[in-house]
This record gives sequence, C-alpha cells and structure tokens, in this order.
Amino acid sequence: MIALALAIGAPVLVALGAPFAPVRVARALVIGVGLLVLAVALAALGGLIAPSLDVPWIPALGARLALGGDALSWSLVALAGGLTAAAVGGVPPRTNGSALAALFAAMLAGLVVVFLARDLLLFYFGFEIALVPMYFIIGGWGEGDRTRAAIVFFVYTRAGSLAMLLAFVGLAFGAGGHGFAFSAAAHPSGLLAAWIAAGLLIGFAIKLPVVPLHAWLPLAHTEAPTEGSVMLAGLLLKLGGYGLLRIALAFVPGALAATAPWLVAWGLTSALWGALAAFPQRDLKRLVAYTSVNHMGYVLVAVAVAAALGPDSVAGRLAVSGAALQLVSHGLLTGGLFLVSGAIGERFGTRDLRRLGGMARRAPRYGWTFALLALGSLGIPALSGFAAEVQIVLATAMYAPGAAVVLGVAIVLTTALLARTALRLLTGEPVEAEPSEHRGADLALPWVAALLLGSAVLGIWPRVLVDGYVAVAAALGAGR
Amino acid sequence: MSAPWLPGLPLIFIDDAVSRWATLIVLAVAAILGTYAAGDPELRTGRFRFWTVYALFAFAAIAFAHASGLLTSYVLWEAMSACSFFLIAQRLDEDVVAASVRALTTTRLGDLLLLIGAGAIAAGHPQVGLIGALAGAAIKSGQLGATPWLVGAMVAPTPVSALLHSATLVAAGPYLLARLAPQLAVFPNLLAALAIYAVISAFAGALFAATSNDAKRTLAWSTSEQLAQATLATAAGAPFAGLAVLAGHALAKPLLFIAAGYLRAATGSTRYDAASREGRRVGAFVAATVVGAAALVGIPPFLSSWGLASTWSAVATARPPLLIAGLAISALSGWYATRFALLLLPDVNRPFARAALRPPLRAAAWLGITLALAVSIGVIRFRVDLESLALPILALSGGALAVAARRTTLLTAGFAFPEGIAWWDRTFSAPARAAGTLLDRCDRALLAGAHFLATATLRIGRRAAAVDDRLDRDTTELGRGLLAGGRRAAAVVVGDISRYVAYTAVGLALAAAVIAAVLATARGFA
Repeated sequence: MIALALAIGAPVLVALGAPFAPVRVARALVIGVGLLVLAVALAALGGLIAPSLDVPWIPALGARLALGGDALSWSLVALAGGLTAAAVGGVPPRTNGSALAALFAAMLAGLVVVFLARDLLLFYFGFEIALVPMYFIIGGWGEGDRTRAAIVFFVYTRAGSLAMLLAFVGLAFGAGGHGFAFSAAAHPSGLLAAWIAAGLLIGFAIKLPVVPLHAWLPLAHTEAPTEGSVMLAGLLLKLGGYGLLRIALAFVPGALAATAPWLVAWGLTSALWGALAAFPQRDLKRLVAYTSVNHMGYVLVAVAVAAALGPDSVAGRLAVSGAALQLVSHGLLTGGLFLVSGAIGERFGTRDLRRLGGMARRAPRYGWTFALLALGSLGIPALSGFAAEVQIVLATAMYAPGAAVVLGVAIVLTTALLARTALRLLTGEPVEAEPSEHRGADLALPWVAALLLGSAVLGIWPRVLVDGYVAVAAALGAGR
Repeated sequence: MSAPWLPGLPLIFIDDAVSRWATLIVLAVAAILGTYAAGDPELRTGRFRFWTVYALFAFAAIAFAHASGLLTSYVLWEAMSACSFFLIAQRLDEDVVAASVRALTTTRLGDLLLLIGAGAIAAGHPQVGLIGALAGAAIKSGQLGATPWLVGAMVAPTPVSALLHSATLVAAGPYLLARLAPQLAVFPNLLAALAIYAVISAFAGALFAATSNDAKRTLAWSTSEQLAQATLATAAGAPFAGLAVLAGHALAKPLLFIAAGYLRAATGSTRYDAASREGRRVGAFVAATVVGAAALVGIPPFLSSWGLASTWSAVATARPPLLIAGLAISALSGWYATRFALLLLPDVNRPFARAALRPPLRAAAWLGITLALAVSIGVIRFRVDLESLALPILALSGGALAVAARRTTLLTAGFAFPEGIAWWDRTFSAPARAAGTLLDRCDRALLAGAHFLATATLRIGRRAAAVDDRLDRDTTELGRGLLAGGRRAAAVVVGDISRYVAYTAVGLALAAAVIAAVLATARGFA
C-alpha cells in the first residue's frame, strides 16, 4: 500500500509541485522520484514487497481501482522510473525547465498506473495520462517541425486509443462480461472476439508501432527534444507491446491464434521495413527511430507465436519471455542511443551522418559509447538484446523455420546498419565545426553508462527477469 | 557442466579428449600470434582494447571447444563474431569499416541459421534443423558462396587475420560438424550432399589460392579449401580425421601469415610481384615459410599429414568417385604452397624492413615452428596409424603435376576471377539501399497520405463548424423566440412554483430516456 502510494503518489505530487520550483530543484525532484519508483519496482521484483490494491472505483461500470504486479509489470515500472531519471538528468536544463520536468513526472505517474493496472478502464486512464504530456513536450520543446510532429503524434495516438477503448468496452460488457476489472471482463469467442482483437491490435499496433501504422514515429522521434525521444522510444512504444502481452494475449488468445500466420507475417514485414528504411537516413535520431520499428516487429512476431502455440508451451514461454525482455532491453539500449545521439547533436551542432565522423580521435567517449549501445541493440552476447533475440528466434523457429529465417535476415540487416553507423561515426574525417565548449552534453554519459550496466546485467544473467516472465507465460496459459 | 543462463536453456559444457586438444591448439596459436602482435608495428594504437578483445576471443574459442549442443555453440559463435568485429576494426579506415561490417554481417547470418536449426530440432524437425546447422557452419567457415568476408577480413592487422583464419572463428564450423557427426549419420542423403558441396568448395578454394597474385589472398582461399576438407572428413564418416585437418591447419596457418606479414613489413605490400629479389634472407622467416607450407600440405611429421591421409582414405572407402577431385585438390594445394614458399623466400634487407623486424616477430616465428612440431608429434605419437600416408605424399608430388596443369588452369579460371567482393557489394548493398530508399519514400507518402486525411478532415471540420455555427445561430434565435413565447404564456398560465415542477418533469423524462437507451444498448450487447 505504502509502496503503491510512493510509486504513483510521489510522481503525481512532483508533477503538481515542480512547475512552481526553480529549474534546478524541479529537475532534482523528478530525478529523485524516478529513482524512487525504480527502487520500489526493484524491491517488488526481488520479492521484498508485493503491493496490491483492489477497491471499487466506479461501481456502475464495474471498474475497480485494481493495482498489482508481476515480473512483467514491475520490470517495466522499473524501466519507467530509471529512464525518466536518465532522460531528465541526461540533458542540460532548458528554458521553462520546471514545466518540462513536471510533464515528465506526470508521464511517469501515468506509465506506472498502466503497468500496474488490473482494470481495463484504469489501464486506459493511465494510457491517456501518459500520452498527453508527450504532446506538450514535443510541441513545446521540440525542434524543427515540432508542431506538426506533435499533432501527428497525437492524432495517431488518439485514433489508437479510440480503437482500444471500444475493444475494452466490448470486453467489459460483451459476452458475459460484467465490468472493466480484469477479473470481471469477458473472455469472448467467435465474432465478438474477432472484433475485439481487431480493436486491440489496431490500438497496440499504432503504439508499437507496426508498419503501416508507424508513420508518426520517425517524425515524432526526430522532432522531439532528446529527453522526449528517450521516453517515446524507451517507454511509450512499450505500451503497445505490454498491451499485446497483458490484454490481447490474455483476453482474446483464440482470435490471435487463428490469425497467427498473418500476424507473424505482419511483424516480419515491419521488422524488414524498419531495417531497410533506416539505411538511407541521414539524421542520426531518425535512423535510431527506424531501428525501433524493426525491434518492435520482433515483439509482434513473438506474441503471435505465443498465441499460436499456447503461452505455456515450450515455445510459447520462450516467445512471451523473449518479447517481454525485448521490451525492457530495447528501452535501455534505445533510450541510451537517443541520449547519446542528442548529446552528439548538441556537442557538434549537427546530427547529419554525412557531416559527423572522426570521433575515435575527436570525441572517443561519445563514439565508443554509441558503438557499444549500437552493438547491444543489434544483439551481441553479454548485453540484453542478445538474450531477448535468442528466445524470440528460437520460439519462431519452433513455430515455422521459414519465418525464423526471414527474422534472421531482418536481424542481419539491422546488424549491418548499426555496425556500419557506429564505425562511420568513429572513422573518417572529423566534423568541420569545432565541437562546442558547452559541456552540458557530457551529462548524458553517466546515465548512459548506468543504462548499459543494466543491459549487461540482463544479458549475462537474464534469469533475474526471465524466471518471472515464464511464470507470467504460465499464468497466461492457465487463464485460457 | 552447465550454467543456468535461461530457464530450460542452460549452457552446457563438456570436457573430453577432443576439447582438451582443441584447447591446447587454441592456446598455442594464441601464444604464437600474441607474440607476433606484441611486435607488430600496425598495432601501435588502441593496445588496451586490442588485448582485451584478443583475450576474450581466445576465451570464447576455448569455451566453444567445450560447448555441447547447438544453443551453447550458438552463443559462443556469436561471442566470436562480436570479438572478430572489434579485432578487424583496429585501424579505422574506410576499407576496414567495410570489411569488418561485412565479416560481422556474414558470420552473424551463419550464427542465426544455427540458432534456427536448434529451434527446429527442439520442435521435432531434426533434418531441417541439421540443414540449418550445416548452412551456418558453411557460412562461418567461409565455404564457397560465403567467401567474400574471409577474403575481406585480410585488411585486418596480420596477427588478427591469422587468428581468425586458423584456430578460432572459421574453424568453428567444421569443428561443430565433427561434433554433430552422430546426429548427421542418421541422414545419409544429407551427408552425401555435404560431401559433394565440400569437394566443390575445396576445389574452388585450391584453384583460387593457386591463381591468386597476392600472398594474403592465397592464404584466405587456402583456408576455405582446408576447412572444406575438414568438412569432407565428417561427411565421409571420419570426424576425427576432420579434427586432425583442422588442428594441422590451425598450426600451419600462423606460420604462413607471419611470413606474409614480414613480406608486408619489408615491401609494403603482400603482392607476389612486389617481393624484391635482392638482399639477405632472414632465417626466422625462411624457416616459418618452409615449415608452414610443409605443415599445410601435410608432410610428415606434421599433423595434417595424418589428417588429410585419413580423410581421403575415408572418402575412398565411402565415396570412391570423389577421389578424382581429391587428386586435383591435392595437386593444386601442393602447387600453391610451393609457389608461396618460393616467391617469398628471396628476402630484402632495406633499412625500413630491418626496423620492422622487432624481436617479438622473430620470436613468434620460432615459437610457431616449435609448437607446430611439438603438437603434431604429440598427437601423432598417440593417435596416428602411419600406414595411411600415401595421399599426402601424392599431394606433394602433385605439385609437379600442377606445374604442368598450370596453363590449363589459368585459361579456365585465370586471374580474371573477381574475388567475389565486388559481386557481394553489387548484389547486397545496392539493392538494400535501393529498397531502403523506396521504403523511405513509402513512409513519406504514408505521412503525406495522413496529412491529406488530416487536411480533408480539417476542411470537412471547417464546413461542419460553419454548419454548426449557422445551426447555433438559428437555434439561438428559435430558442429566444420560444423563450419569449413561453415566458409570455407562463406569465399568463402559471406562477413560479409550477415552473420548477415543469423543469423537474422535463429533467426526469430526459433521465428516463438516457437510462432506457443505456439499457437497450446493454441488452443488445448481451
């Protein structure tokens, strides 16, 4: 109870108070509350506490203030807390920094609610609370075409939310459901299940995002301020993956299983598209944004495989834990990549890959940090991306070896892309422009080191999370 | 021994005679090349990074030698791929970037095919799974169709190329196949296909090695050829012979690379025609060249002699027709080894060359010779049956045969062979970039479509808003009129209290309508 109050109440209080504090204090408060949420989540993951809450909320709708968590929930809460701290702490203060910091605290509160919600309406509520601050962050503090990016982001997202909400209403009141709480909602079948699955898929596929619903992502990630890109890639995309695992796979597994081959094909298309479309990109942030499309494609493939073979089959467990670990791993590594890309842009005055280079001599710490993150992201052993991809590829190979080969091609394309980009940054002629004397960009490096450390822990010893994920998969299987 | 890495997927390691010998050989090669690297002028910068990755790489190779099962093998393959990427990318030039990315990409494709094979086997499709493992091993060991990365990796510093080409990265493929021999034996068709592929690959490797005009390229193609023969041994049912070929190759290759590295240090190039014929010979390198060439083609007492002899004996028993190709392969490898030695022997004594000859380089040469002899004798002393040395002797005499065949060979394949790299770039990079550009355009089109929709929506919205405004105006006027009328009527008919009653009645009726609507909809759902 106290833990929940800390994890949700503290960000809310900071969000309310930060606008009235000086920038320095506001930033410190948000970093502190992020680390606090991280600490609570780690305690819950370690089994020290098991906070949960279940009281009536809106009785007429059968909605309950039901909160609780398993490994899947708490690992993402931990990611949310840690990344919020890193995003705010890793960039120099901006004008109106207090308001910006408050928006991050509000977003964190919404994210924690989503990941812990055990009620569809509460999930939707947290989802929306998490998304609105991002609209203001992009629109208010973004770069370039920020207004357009913010509006495109918001329109896509709202469209997804609407589809999701309709599906939630169907789950709550269709086919024997008597409320929004997870425990009361229906497990429909037949035509209703198909409609609900379609609604959920559209909602989560926009958020994930999956081609062709992804057009908002490169724009939003590029125009958002660095800390906004970190949160977008690191956490907001995770809402889609989390929703697929927590809601779609739990409530309409039959409909997913029936369409699994199509979903696998859809995810593979997205993975290939993301990898290929990244090749011609010139803007470092835009390139990294496209790798997110690629990496989240793997998640959709894994969810479809889990649905097809049953979440508690051998392959299903691999798929569920692979998808979940991929979410956390992508948050750590891509969050780090955006922090470094932003810092490089700030330090050298450009993020244009044609003009960047020579970092091995000029800025070795940036260059090698980017290289390490990129290699982690493409999946070298000992970092978390590897442990996630191994499970997803194995599960897919158990479902259909041909699909796994296509997945392998997508992974190899990403390998070529990221390895090439990392070495391009390190080699060649340095940027013409003198690096700015502004050392604010150096703020990013300690936070990125922390993210890399987290990724290394998960890569070398993935069982800290994967054992819990397997339990989640077993519970999903038992719930069918 | 097993390490609980993922639940249900532990990393399993075994310790047997094979893994011990493999460890010994990896250590020997790492020691020889480590000594060389300590004196290599190309490795002046980034030394800390180099030695860290070097150690990790050797460790991964030894761990792989002990790996049991496809998953554990896969994890260590990936570890070796990642280390090799860093090792190749020592000197950060444009061509190095391309080569290291190509090496990483290609070997990872092999790795992933192995992983997919593991998944297919776990799902109960052993044949599909083994095909995946075979394809992965072929790519990993730079067999025909996957050679460009092997040749490209030659831009790395000499000790790195030597390490990748001898005991570690490339050897992982045939080593895994030898370990998988019992499982492969269940599928004779698969073995037959593997044997034919290995023979073709060995022949192509020998042919290109014999016709190349660059010492390092000769060595690259010869790697492909030797590893194909190791694969052939497994395919012919003699996995131990294959392991012996691998071991012999691993011990011979570093010596030849040391010789080629000396050529580069002395003349600035590894092309045969760049080798000057003036000056004094340096004993260590002459010895390394001669001993390395002899060990490579399998002259007793070197390990390859037993390995190659047993391999071709097994082929003679299992698939006699392939022996014809064997003659050609032996002849060609005898030829290129002889050519390599003869062209490298006349050495130079220029000032810069002397300066490049730091003591560690000579020490590495002598260490390599000693270890190659010691390990070979050690293995043969305990395992060999010396009767089957007929074929390596044939290989040696084949050198003479090759001289006669040279003209024909050059005519058929010749120097014109483009070495595959340009082909790789044409067929891989360009379409990928083109497809990427196309998809990028699609994305922009999508966004434009979304923008169009948004504009259209806005336009419709504006029109709707205009309609709304008019409605609003009309309604307001209507309301005003009604209100005025009502007020007048109310003033006439009822007093204030009845007005509140009327409001309440209207409110209740509205609420009833809403509830009825909700109930009707809810029933509709149920």
